Amino acid sequence: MAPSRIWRYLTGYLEVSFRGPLVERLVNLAVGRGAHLWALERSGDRLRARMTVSSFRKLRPLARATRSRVRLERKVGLPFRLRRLRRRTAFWAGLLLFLAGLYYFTSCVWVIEIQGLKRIPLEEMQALLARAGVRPGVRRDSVRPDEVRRWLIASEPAIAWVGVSLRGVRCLVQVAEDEPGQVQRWLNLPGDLVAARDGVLVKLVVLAGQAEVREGETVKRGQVLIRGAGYAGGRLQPVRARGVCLARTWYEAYREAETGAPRTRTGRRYTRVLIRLNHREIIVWGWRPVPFTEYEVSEASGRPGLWRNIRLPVEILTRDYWETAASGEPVPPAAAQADALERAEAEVAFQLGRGAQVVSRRVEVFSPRRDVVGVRLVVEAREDIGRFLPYQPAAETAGAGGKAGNFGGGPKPRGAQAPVGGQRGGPEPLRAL
Amino acid sequence: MARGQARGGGLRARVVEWLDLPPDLGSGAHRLTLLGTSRLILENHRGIIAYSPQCLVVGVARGQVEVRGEGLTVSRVHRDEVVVAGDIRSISFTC
Repeated sequence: MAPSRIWRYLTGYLEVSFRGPLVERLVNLAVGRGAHLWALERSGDRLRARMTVSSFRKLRPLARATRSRVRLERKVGLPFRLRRLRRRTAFWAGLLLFLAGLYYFTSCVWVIEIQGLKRIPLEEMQALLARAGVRPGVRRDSVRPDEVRRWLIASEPAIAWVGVSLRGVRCLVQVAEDEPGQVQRWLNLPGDLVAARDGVLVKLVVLAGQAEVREGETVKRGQVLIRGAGYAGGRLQPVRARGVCLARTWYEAYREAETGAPRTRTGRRYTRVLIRLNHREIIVWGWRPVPFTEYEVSEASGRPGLWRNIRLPVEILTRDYWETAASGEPVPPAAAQADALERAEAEVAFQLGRGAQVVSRRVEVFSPRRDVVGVRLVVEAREDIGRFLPYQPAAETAGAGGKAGNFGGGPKPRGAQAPVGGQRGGPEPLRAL
Repeated sequence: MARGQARGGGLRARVVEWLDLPPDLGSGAHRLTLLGTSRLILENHRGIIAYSPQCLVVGVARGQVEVRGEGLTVSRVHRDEVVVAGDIRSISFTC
């Protein structure tokens, strides 16, 4: 294949002109010696041609023999261009300076973007940031976002939350200001008290709203316990449901432990090599039955891939059978049982809600398999399962002081003479707890 | 002609003929590929004999190939291949 223009440019070539009575002969001789010429062009008594540097070296000694005059016209290509550049020290110094400058200037913070300011003036925020060590021109690695965050929150009480992040030469500061009265508004959001988990209601004290369930009733997770509806000015209005919803709840965990002696590999191994083709296995090596009575199996598979995800449907498997033997003392059943119980306890403790009081616990011991002991722990607890679920996401109501429109799918204020205890579809999903 | 040429050649040419291979493989016979009127690829040549923008004479195994035209250039010379570009008017063969 003839080399392309790009390749010729990259490797470099020479433009040469010949003059003499036997230039054709000179070309033939050079070609015969392996020279490579192209773009031969006759102009007047001269013959111009292009050739590689190595071809020129082959051609040169032949010129005298054919009484031709050879003149090098031009050197073309990347190698010659680079050679010319090599001598230009100022160019290299400039390039180095440029790269060093680029590196230095991109490792500084040049832009400080502040978002979310409402009442705090921008200048004040900038001054604060400057005191925290964030100002234009400062080195990137001198800014520790986490420390700046903490410093800002500590020094400006009007800041409720602040996020500081470095993005290239930009430092993004996102501020959320404290709004007076916001907490109060949030506390007065209308909404229901729903069950945080399944249980049997023991005690229900309604402080605000209307009871949807009675004491002694079994409730499901998500079920409305106290509806956030109350009379104000003779009309049923959405309110924030308040109350105590004490219930009996149950927690359960099952864990297993082994009682037999621990098994370890003896080091003896039997290897079998198989070919798997469309779920069919063909044994290539190791036809004998596995010579151990107790063993573990480990498998390694090699699948010849042709290219990326294109794979052959053939898989070569190496299956190792490791002999195992009992080693050490067997674990006494009591110790295994204690171990399983301990882990079951940990699981229950993880599940237990805050403020839950354990009333009773029951332990059941099983023997599901040989050398295995299973422990089931059932714990009965008493806890307040009421969780507040606002009718609207808190963010929407925070600004407008609570819109009274959406009643969370509950009874409409107009038709509210009817008892509010109508059973509705299923338990609502718990949105906010 | 190709047959006669092959018979006149050595053992290699006879083997090539017996196997029904292209005759240029065995005898070193030249082969011309003309692409339109602007490009000519000449394989198995024996060197450039004369060259001017109007006329190019290339030696081949048993004679010469003469290419006439306008603005002829040799866009590539290789040990066994010459590529001619330009406005080709006629090609003639003499032995």
